[in-house]
Amino acid sequence: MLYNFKSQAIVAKARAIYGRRLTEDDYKQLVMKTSVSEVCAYLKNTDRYSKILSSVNERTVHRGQVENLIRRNNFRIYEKLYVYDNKSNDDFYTYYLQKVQIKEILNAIMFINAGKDDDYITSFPAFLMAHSEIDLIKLAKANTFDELLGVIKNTRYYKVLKPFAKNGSTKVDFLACEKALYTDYYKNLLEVIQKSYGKKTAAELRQAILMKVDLYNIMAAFRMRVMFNIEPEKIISAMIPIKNKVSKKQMDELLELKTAKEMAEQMPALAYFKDIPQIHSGSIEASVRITRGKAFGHLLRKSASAPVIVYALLELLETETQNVTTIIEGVRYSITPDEIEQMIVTF
Amino acid sequence: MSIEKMSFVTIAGPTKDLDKALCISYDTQAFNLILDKEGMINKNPVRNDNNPYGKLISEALRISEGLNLKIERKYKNPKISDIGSTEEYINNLGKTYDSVTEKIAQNKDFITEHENIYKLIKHLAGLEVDFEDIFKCKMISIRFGRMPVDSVPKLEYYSKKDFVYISFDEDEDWSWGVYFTSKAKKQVTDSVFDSLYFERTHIPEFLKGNASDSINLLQKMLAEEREKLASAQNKLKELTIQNKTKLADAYALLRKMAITHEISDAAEIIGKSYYLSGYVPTRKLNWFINKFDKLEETVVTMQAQNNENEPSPEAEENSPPVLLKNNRVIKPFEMFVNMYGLPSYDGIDPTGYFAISYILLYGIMFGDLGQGLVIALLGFILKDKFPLAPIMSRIGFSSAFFGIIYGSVFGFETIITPFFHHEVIYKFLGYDSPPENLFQIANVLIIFALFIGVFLILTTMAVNIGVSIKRKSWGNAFFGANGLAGFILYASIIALAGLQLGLGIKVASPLYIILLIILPLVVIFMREPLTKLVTKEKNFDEEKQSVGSFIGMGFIEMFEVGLTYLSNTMSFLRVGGFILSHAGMMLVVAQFGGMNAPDPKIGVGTIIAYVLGNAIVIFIEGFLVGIQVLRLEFYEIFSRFYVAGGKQFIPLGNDFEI
Repeated sequence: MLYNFKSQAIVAKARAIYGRRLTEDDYKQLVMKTSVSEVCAYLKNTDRYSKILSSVNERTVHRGQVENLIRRNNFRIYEKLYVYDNKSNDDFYTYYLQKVQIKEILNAIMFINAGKDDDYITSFPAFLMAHSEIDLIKLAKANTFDELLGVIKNTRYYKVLKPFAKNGSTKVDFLACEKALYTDYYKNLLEVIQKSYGKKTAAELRQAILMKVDLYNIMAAFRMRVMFNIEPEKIISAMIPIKNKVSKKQMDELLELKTAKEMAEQMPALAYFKDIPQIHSGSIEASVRITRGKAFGHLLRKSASAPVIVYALLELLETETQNVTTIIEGVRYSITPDEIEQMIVTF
Repeated sequence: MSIEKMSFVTIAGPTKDLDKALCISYDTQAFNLILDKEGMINKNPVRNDNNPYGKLISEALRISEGLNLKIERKYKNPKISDIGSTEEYINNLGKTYDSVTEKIAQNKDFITEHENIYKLIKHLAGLEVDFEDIFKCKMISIRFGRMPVDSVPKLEYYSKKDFVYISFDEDEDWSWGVYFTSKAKKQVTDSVFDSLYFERTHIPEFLKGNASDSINLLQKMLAEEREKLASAQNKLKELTIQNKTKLADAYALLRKMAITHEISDAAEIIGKSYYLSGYVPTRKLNWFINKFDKLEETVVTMQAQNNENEPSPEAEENSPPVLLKNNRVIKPFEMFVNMYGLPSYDGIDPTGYFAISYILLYGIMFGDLGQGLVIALLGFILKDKFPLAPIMSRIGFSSAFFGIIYGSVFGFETIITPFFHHEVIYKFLGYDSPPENLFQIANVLIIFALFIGVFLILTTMAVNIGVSIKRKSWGNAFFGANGLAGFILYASIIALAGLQLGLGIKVASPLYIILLIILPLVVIFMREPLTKLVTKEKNFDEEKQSVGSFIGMGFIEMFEVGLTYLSNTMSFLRVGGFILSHAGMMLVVAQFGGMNAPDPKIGVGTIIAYVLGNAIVIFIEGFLVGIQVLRLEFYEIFSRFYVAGGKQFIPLGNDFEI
């Protein structure tokens, strides 16, 4: 009874946060801005960002600072909802923290491979330090993969990444690490869902997560095949091996294609893109993001289950953060409003 | 309660007088101009660069917005006529306004900048060192400022770099502090702090002494600047008061000039003469013509529209516009009629009928003396701010009147004796003792509601018969489901049900059934052929209908007629329902206020419950009943007789967007 009451309260809270999202009209106004400070000034006047950016001086603000503040706020929303819905034995809610940690480990690996510089420390989320099981400062200081393994020794990620350690070599296979971490993450998540929730909630969450995996694999197929011309076998080996609505045959057919135009023509045959109008060579990535945005928006509006709604909300907040980042980048590099608008996902 | 008769008028004169003629027509607000080149007119002269008054209007609007003066964008008698001095006035006012607002902006900038310095220095309040001494250091560089709190733990990453950061204060987002570094490492350290979004605050040279001294000095400077800001803001307020009327008059003149200029470009010019044609309400015709006496060479000719013997060719092409003529009590209800659609010029104005039935139904459904008077009072207070306000004041009185009958004052039912407590009434209703409350006479209320419905439906059918005869729509008047046949059929069924089934009075006889029920049914069934017979009309376009299809269609239509009669009558049950729902809601309020207890005591809680409860009931039920009555009017009444399709009478210039 109490849990049901709390659950309804979370649903209401999450939907209220969703209700304050940026609207299509906001995006139309934002893409017309000509500087980061103008974007920031506009955001300060919206319901969602007025408090987050209230103390920021829009005349001197830096792009990275705006992004950090938004990401910190997203994390705080997660924290609040997590605390509110912290059922006993509910491991599911730690998924967001795990996801952010994996992202940081991958960032650290990328910087180690590229030759370490101080940019990483600027962008890394300090708000996570109090919550993370990893010492993030030590992670930032790690100069080799072995040092990195030392930092994560007492976490589940150590076991996953240990096989990639090569004596003497500083560089590791980033794609293999990424696949291993995400495979472990999603498999664990699916198990937790099955154990923690009733049939309906578990089914909704399962579908949402499997869709994310499918879209992740499709995006990987497009980037690796078209942008980097990698052989299909290698791409398949880098994909997360969890299948849902994209069959092996469909993925093989997709990977046979070499150009963006061919891939764009093939996409409507896949289950997720039937309702996306006119996918063309320049809009493949946008189509994937739109599909994801629409699906999570639908889930948030229609589901009655608190964990599903919170999951959808956090995904959508991330999409919105990406939108804002895209706009700031676009404005900064003088990309035309039309081009920026094409990359925006509304939900 | 009628539609104004219109006269078709043509104004003709030399082109040099065109602007003057347009200005006269504009000022009368009684001339609906008809132009062939209507589509060429830019209805927003501000957007037309060629309109000489566009920029001045924009400027007037900019100033009025800045001064918080709301300019009504509709016709207003300008009271001034000199356009030259108006132009000068707007330009001068613009300059004064700009100089005052610029001063305010400068004051605000100064205050913001010094407030930031103040905030920083305040965070250094514990620092007992003279700023001059700090800046005199030769080997050490010092930077004051703030950085995001998220950046502070990241400093640990740079533990081997040569700098020291001291945080003086922190809030949720920022850490205020200072960093020290050697002159040699200044560049590297600055770039580290830059990357961590450190925002440096320059300590002004005028700040001497330690932090406390500087705080005092800054407080004094800020206080002085705030005074200056307040004085500039007062000047702006004075400007607002001084120009309230003058700016509105200037705008009214500019509006008139801009509109007449736009129209003059589209007016019909033949040779050296102009021609303006349009409609004027017939009763204002002489007054209108006399207005042109000043223009000696201008001629106003008219052709009355109701002169059926000689209709003007122009008038045949353009159906006259519709202007409703109603007295002050009824006029506000024109809004609802317009919402449904204006009546056609040869139709009838239903506003009166609508207003009376609306006021009555509202009062019956929401009867409470206190709440009704509150609605009426709100209507008076908001009359210039809310379009529904004049309607509220009228229905509020109706609600108060029926509140007296129901004996309800803000939900208290003991102050006034309700109608059913009078012996004559309750005995007439069949009760031996007075019923305790409205719920005990629910069945009476339901029958009463049905009676209202029947009365209104029959009245509406009668109106439809009258309107149809006026429009010479004989089929509709005599053979339609809402015509004479329908009237007889419906009235007979209701009489049969009411008298025989309700009161047990025997009325049904073979003659009654045949003459008053079967015959009207047959007439309605045969409506089309009967209409053709009466009007001797032959419809060549229509495809020939087979007998089977005619009978089939006829039966379906008859079924629909029966169903409509039933559903329309039942629809009025809501009238009784709302009387009961109001009583029910007030019962809940009484329950919350503790007034339903055996020995109720009036406390603060009771007062709060009654005030809040009444406010909620007025807001929710007040609106709900208003909407339900509107629904009854539109669906059960208007749909029976009302033919919309009239064009609105628009006085010259009133359709412009300025």
